[in-house]
Amino acid sequence: MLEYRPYIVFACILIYMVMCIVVGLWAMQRTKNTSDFFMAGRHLGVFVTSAAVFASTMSGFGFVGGPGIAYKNGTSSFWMMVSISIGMCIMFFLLGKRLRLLAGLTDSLSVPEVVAARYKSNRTGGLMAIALLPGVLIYLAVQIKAMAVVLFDLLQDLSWASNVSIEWCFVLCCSVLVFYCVTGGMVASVYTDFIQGIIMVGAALLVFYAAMTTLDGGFSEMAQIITQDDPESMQPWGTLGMISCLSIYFIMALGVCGQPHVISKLMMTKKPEDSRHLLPLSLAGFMLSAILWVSIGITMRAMVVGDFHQPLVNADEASSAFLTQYAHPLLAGVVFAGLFAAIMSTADSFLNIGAAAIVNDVPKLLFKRQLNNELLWARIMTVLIAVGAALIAYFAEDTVAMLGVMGWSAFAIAFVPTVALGLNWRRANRLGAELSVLAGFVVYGILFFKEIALPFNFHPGAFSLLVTVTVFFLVSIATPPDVIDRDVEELLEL
Amino acid sequence: MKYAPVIVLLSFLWGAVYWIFVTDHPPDALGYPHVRAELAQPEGASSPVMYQGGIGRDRHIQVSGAGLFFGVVTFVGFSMLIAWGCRTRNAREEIAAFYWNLMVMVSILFVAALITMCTVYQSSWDSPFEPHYLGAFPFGTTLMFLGICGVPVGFIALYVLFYREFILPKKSQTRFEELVAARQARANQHPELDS
Repeated sequence: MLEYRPYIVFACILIYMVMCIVVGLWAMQRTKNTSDFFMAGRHLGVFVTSAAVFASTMSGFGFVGGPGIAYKNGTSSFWMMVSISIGMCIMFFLLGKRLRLLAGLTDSLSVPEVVAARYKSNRTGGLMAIALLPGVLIYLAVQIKAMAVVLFDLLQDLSWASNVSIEWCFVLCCSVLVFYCVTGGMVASVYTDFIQGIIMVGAALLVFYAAMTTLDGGFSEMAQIITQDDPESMQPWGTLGMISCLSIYFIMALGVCGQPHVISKLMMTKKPEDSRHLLPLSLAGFMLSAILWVSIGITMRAMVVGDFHQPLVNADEASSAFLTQYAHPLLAGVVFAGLFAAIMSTADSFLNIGAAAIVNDVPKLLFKRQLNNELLWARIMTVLIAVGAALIAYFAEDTVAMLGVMGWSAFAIAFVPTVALGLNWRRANRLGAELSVLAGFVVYGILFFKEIALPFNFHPGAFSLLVTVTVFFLVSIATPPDVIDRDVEELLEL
Repeated sequence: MKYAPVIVLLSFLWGAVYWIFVTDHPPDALGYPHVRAELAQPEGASSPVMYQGGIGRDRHIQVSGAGLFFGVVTFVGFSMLIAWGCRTRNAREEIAAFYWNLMVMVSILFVAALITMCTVYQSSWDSPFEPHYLGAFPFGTTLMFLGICGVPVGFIALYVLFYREFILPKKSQTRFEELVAARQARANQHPELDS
């Protein structure tokens, strides 16, 4: 069976992509208007939404970058993963109820619309829509690049497809992604997320078993091999050290409730009280799929430092090296499909959010007009955003991980104070929201583009988020409160 | 005075950041490329691929106090945010004390998990190559998984079990439905306002 490995892997991925196209066609029949396209008609069940929440949170970064960072920095990388448990708690306690109620009351189709309704300011909502566009493009580029590179690597093992260029891989990946998003909108997106979530959990559990049996002594032996090589990389702070890990924990945990592709799912449930079941289900799904992160990361580091495997030329190769060397071909096929699933589940959400921002939010909030035939424009814009992101991905020289962290921090700076805090604090005002986002972006921009390293590698995103929250609080209490709709005001107290 | 907890929290956070920034930075605080060249920079690699941490005591001894302070304030702040998210004017007052006691207990456990993990980690400095194991991993690392990642399950239990009492009481949901109905009625009467 081993000689058929590349064909089995490729067949699994092909089956998965066909499945995505079928879901897109099915969802197209259920997409009648923009509410269906952007919000899945606000009638999603608990299981579908929870799978969509955790699949979007995990993304290609978790399945490709996670094991890579574990290989490179040891246990430091696990702080990104463990932060999600408290991060999801904060997100659901602060937003699970209020975001759904406010979206239901004001019939909002996107997070910027909710912001506009909360602050009774189209300008604030419009600025949020504009603020999220660069993040959407960068994050989407990350996903498309990861997908194209993995596909290209896989095709090299197929004799009849080894001549396929990386450019064609970009085109193929982008086409499948665009097809099911354009045809089915958010309905297709969340239902493929559901399938993707199941594949991710199944793949992670199978990988856990495969990793555990790679060495006779299982994870205990691997931990001892790594400890004998370098004790710190197996201790809780890993190679990056205490401060770096804690600041990553800070930005990742608090940043969850600023990720528009995650929090927008909270607005789509059938009933507001569904969030009660969403929290445990989403977190359980995330933790199960994160087993892959730990398993592959630890295994590959142990195999290499123990001289059982050649050193990797690129840390991001950890997942594919493990799957091609130590996993059964069928398992490798399922996991590669899961890897594509993780990437696409995030990418489709970004396509949808970006299209909503351009077609719905900016015209409505900043220019006070609505486009004719909005659904058609939404589909056209989805294609254009995907093409734009693919071009950025093709020409960008930055690594996937660098771009991913940048996108996460940018979203956190823009949405944590304005949405997560603003929806819970009546005294927050639009000046505080706007100035805080501005201050956060200026500080983050200076630190990022000037490449200023803070002491002990304190994460620049964490520092900028702290600035943002402080400015938001101080400006809001120092300036008069806004006059907002009375029902919105009452809703903030419910 | 109602903003005092926020002011104190933000002051402590900035204080912790300041303390970290003014602490002497040891040369290997952030780890360094693996000492075995073929692991750090294998043939064909354009930058270091594997790092190592070195001596835990040397790189952490100066910053451990500031780091622990930053960690504790962060964990307390996260617990406060979660408690803040439970506010509702229709909460069931008769079991409020019970609920808030549980919330405080989970928060204390959460902070205790961090402090215990740091203490266990520091105790491994004397014999770094022979740490105590709990399960497959060194004690401190297992505490990261079971404690720091695991204790928030307590917050989830509170969210699920007391949802109707402190998150979205029936009374709040009924009022929400009334507000939606009133807004729709207004929109029907004045369609021009709806746009």
